[in-house]
Amino acid sequence: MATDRPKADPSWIAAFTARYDAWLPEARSLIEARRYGDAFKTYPYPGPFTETPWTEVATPLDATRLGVVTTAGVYRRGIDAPFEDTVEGDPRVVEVPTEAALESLDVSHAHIPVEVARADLNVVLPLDHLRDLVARRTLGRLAPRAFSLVGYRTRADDVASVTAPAIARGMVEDGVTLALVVPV
Amino acid sequence: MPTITIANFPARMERIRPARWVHVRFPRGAMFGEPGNRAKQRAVLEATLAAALTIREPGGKVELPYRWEAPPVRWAGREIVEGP
Repeated sequence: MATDRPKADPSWIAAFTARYDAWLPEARSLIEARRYGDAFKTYPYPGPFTETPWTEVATPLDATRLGVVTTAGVYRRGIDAPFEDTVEGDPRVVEVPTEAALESLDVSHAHIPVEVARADLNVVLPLDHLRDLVARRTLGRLAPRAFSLVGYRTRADDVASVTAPAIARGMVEDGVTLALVVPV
Repeated sequence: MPTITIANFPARMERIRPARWVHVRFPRGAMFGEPGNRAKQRAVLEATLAAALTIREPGGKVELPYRWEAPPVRWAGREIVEGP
């Protein structure tokens, strides 16, 4: 059995930030022109990582409190502002109540075919199914909120040092014992 | 906190090394299968949650057998049935 190693190694962040700051000025104009292939040819991708954060799953599913995070840009219609299409990606995280009706939600994401998710949001945030699994007692409970962001974020350093920790803190506050991560 | 990730881009996952993940062969933006295909979405979800308990080593992966069974998704001038 693997030993718990709960924290990711942050040692890559400083070097990434320096390389990113050198990359962005030229990349910005390419991204604004929608020439993403050209822009990201020289992007300073983090990794490959050699270690994997690891925490044992200690709770059976029927006692699990499940947290969910999706990068599909899901937001609440009329309540949250849609995610903006920006050069570096909209850094916001929207908290979606897990009892929300899917008809009250929408998707804004410039880097996925949104019509697929709009046809059925369960394909990126399967709330109908998760609620049914709870009702059938297959799954213990859903956390009160799911976390939604857009997966297009060029500032990987901010994602690692700000966004992900904030989501993790929120899940800890909600008593989450297992997190379902849905990068789209 | 333990995590289980559902992903359709193995090369990226090999680079990022999530704790546990399942590989789905669906197109970008449709991680649980075709819109309206509730049986498949449910099967994918349940298999993903089950994998959280069966994967015992860091970086472990489960390959799910499901395939896209709708017309290809049009994205960036391409038609895709799996992956980014």
